[in-house]
Amino acid sequence: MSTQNKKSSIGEALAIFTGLGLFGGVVVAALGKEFGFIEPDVAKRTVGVLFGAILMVSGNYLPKAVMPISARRKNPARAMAAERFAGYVFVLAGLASAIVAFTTTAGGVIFLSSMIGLGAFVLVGLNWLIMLVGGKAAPEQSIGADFTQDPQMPQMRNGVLVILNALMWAFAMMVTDHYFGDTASKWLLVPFFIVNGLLGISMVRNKKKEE
Amino acid sequence: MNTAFKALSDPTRRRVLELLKQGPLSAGELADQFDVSKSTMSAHFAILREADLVMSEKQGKSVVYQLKMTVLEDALLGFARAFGWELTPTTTSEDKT
Repeated sequence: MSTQNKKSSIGEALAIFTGLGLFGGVVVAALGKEFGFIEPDVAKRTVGVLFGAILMVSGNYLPKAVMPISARRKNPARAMAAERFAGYVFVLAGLASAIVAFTTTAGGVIFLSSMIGLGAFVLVGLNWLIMLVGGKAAPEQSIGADFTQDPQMPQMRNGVLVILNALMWAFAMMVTDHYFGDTASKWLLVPFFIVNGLLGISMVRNKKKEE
Repeated sequence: MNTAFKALSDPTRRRVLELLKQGPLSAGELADQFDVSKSTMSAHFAILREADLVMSEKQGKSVVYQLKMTVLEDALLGFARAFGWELTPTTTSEDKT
């Protein structure tokens, strides 16, 4: 294993442990609230701060978990700029979300921090759409054909995308719960599982291609 | 992180990273932007790869580079550029071998 690959693996392992640790914190806070050994307000703030932290960590790693140039179908320069933009938006929104969860009144913690998180996803989605509409590769920018290596998707990219997808639906469910109630928010589990399933299928297909 | 600091401490390598922000470039295209020898540029590329700040792929006979930086590393690059931060003796345009 080359030094670069070793470092990459250490980075991926650190990112995975950080992600798992933060998710573990959310689960502990939720269970603590359920079984009464953590005050409900403290639990809400903890979940808000941890969700913000997860968004920051995932956003930070998103531009580093790059797709190989040979695997990109669109203009790689625009796609990379869009990913860098997404990284910055998620880091700043995660920071804002965590600060709001720590400082606002207990009643508005979950709603406000979720709105900030969801707003970040909407902004990134819109930017991505603009990139897709305007970013078609010109003939001289066509890529992929001359590459001698098969594209290998970094595992970190899959991890970051799965975490961000889960986080987006969690924010959406909390905002929906605030406006339309518990039943409506539970319905969002359907698209969540569909999107997660599609992500899983795409990852398995990429893994098979690598093999 | 130490290797990242080392990589970012040189103005030539910082300029390479800035150029790569505009999109992937081949080693030749990048080298054309600098008045230094190919071996010096290769050393710079090796340090950037070692620090895991760029990703390289072979395309025919040339090697294409693209950025591979976290948001934090990108922000560090901005700071380093703004304050002209240098830790090691520079290998800039003067050191043509």
